[in-house]
Amino acid sequence: MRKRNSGFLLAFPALAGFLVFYFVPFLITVWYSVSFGIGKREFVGMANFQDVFENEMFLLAVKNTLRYMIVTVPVTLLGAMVLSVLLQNAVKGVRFFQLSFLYPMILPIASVVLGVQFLWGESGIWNKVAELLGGEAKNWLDSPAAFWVLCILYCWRFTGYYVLIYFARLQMVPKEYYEYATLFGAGKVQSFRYITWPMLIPTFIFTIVLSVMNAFKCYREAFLLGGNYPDDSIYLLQHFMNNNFQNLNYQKISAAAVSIVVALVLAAGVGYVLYLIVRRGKKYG
Amino acid sequence: MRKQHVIRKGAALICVCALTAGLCGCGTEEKSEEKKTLRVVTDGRLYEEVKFAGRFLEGVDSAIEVEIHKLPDDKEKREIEIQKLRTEIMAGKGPDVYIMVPEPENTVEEVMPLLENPYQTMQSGALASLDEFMEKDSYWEESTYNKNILKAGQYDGRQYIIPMSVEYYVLPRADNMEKMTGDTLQEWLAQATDSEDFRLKQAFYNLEVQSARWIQPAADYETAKVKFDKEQWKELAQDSLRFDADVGEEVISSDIDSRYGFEVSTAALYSDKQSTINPQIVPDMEGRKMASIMSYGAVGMSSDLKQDAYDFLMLFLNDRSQEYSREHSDDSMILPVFWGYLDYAYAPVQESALEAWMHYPSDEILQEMRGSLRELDGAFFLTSVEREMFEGLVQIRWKADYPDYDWSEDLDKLADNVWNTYKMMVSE
Repeated sequence: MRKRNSGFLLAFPALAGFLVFYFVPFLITVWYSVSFGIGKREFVGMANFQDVFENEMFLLAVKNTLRYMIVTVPVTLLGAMVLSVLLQNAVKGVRFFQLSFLYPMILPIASVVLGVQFLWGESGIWNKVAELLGGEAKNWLDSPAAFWVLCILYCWRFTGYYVLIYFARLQMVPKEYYEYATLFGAGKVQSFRYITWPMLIPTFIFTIVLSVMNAFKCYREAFLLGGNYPDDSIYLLQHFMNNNFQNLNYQKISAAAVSIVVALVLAAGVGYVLYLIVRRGKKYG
Repeated sequence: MRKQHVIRKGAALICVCALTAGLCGCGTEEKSEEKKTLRVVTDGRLYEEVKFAGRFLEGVDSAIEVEIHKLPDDKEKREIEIQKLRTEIMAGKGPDVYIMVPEPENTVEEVMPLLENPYQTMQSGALASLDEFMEKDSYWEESTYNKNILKAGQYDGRQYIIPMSVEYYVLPRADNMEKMTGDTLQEWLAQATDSEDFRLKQAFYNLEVQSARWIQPAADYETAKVKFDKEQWKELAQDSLRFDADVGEEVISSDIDSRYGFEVSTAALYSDKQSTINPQIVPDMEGRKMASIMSYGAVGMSSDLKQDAYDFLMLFLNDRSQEYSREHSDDSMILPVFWGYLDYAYAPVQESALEAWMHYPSDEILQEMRGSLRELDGAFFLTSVEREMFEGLVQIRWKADYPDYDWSEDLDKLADNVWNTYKMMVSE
């Protein structure tokens, strides 16, 4: 009992901070999303939501952001998992690899984008090679290929970060488990399936959340590559938000933000229900 | 057990208090009834004029205090300040009056504007409709304000922005020069191409500097349609580049001082020229004679002093300060006087202001300027796309001097990009 109470007290500063800095602004955003004007606002019901859902740029931004997450989140996490397992089995150079995985995170984003332009810009290396091979040079960053460039950039930046998270978790798996498994004739795949993977599941779920959050935050890269109005393929939700913020259209941003939160809550709710169903199935099955 | 229960309840209560405090903090501040503070935000270029207007208003109404917020000129400080202001506006604590200066498309360094795209801002609800005040104001019935220019500040039939100064290109024509006969810019260029008069060729050399104005307004934000015709624009760009290539050497080798050229309205008409200049306004590709808005005023939606804010804006247009000055000529304290224009650097929007703005020129020149202002079919706001268009074509123009350079591919790309940006902007 004492433990539970002290836990609540420990969580109190964070909880109060959340209420004041997140929950209150969110309530204000909800009010903005159903009203029009600034200062003395006029209640307009669901009109702002209707506007947002009829807005083709919002729909494009949602489509691109989802597509971006569908590509980058699994690729990054699976890549990180493979690398972390390889690193776990490595005998030499573990420290070196651990450090090198962090470099993409340390580098300033502006210099990273400069590097990207050096590679895929109009006079970049990619085009030079293409011209040497008889192909045609083009500005990759101003074409639908920009989407894939952005995906590569994300994977390159964040894979190492997740490798370190997975690797830290793998270090906590007792070596004896693997030794027993080997004694009983389990191969590498079976060891992974029955030991490593179950141990990694909670971390994996945590990294999914982290990865989705990071995917939402990739605006800087997209902005530096294409400005406020980039190629259609990399026009993301943050572009929509940022451009409307610049034009002081707060009801539109608010309606979009509330819609996204509702969608995320619904997705999390569905996930939780599925989890409960699976758990109940295991219990009685 | 009981003690723990009390602690839990207490902590929950503090959470609720924090939530309430947060919500209350977002309410609007109560204002003192004794002194009203009118908050004006403006750019450095018009700061002095706005300061004078503030002094005038404070002089005639002791209950008002004018607080002027000048946006910094320094790029970094300006960006920080603007972000702060945008958040304040969002919280309903924005300025009462906006007096803004859009950057011309051909400035060397891009400056961050507070209102990135006035067309989109008008849709946002951040600006107050001025119709209620304008209906009561006899100025709009009696004045010589060009109503075509006023339309640029309307959205959904309501007036949100009042343009204060404009700029447009003219072709000053000497008496012995042929008059441009066509209605569209393409016809003008064709006439210059066929003309024997070398002065015309000189004028049309480097027509690309006006490229952002070749089709204006290039987008309709009310219907979310792009009016920018990229095929037509590309065609004119190609004709213009070809023209430059044909006459380039001859023009460059001609005497630089006697070169004939297009001029912006300000340079051509506002100077102390005493001779007849016969300026013809340059039409766009569809024959419209359009001017870019170089300063404008608006009232914030969150303002509690909308009428005062409107009156403040109108000081630059109406003759209130002149009348006051006449009536109080014997007073010891002299208040500033405005002569119907805000912006000394660009053409005013009403004919009655021209004489003072041009420093009392000859009747002939004044009539010409009045005529040119009357001829304007409308006005438009400059946005980031116009800059993109200008910079893009100027770059192509530079490259066009290299041998074997084929500009068509770059032109295609530029026109596509510009069209796409317009499309995104109107759809957002």
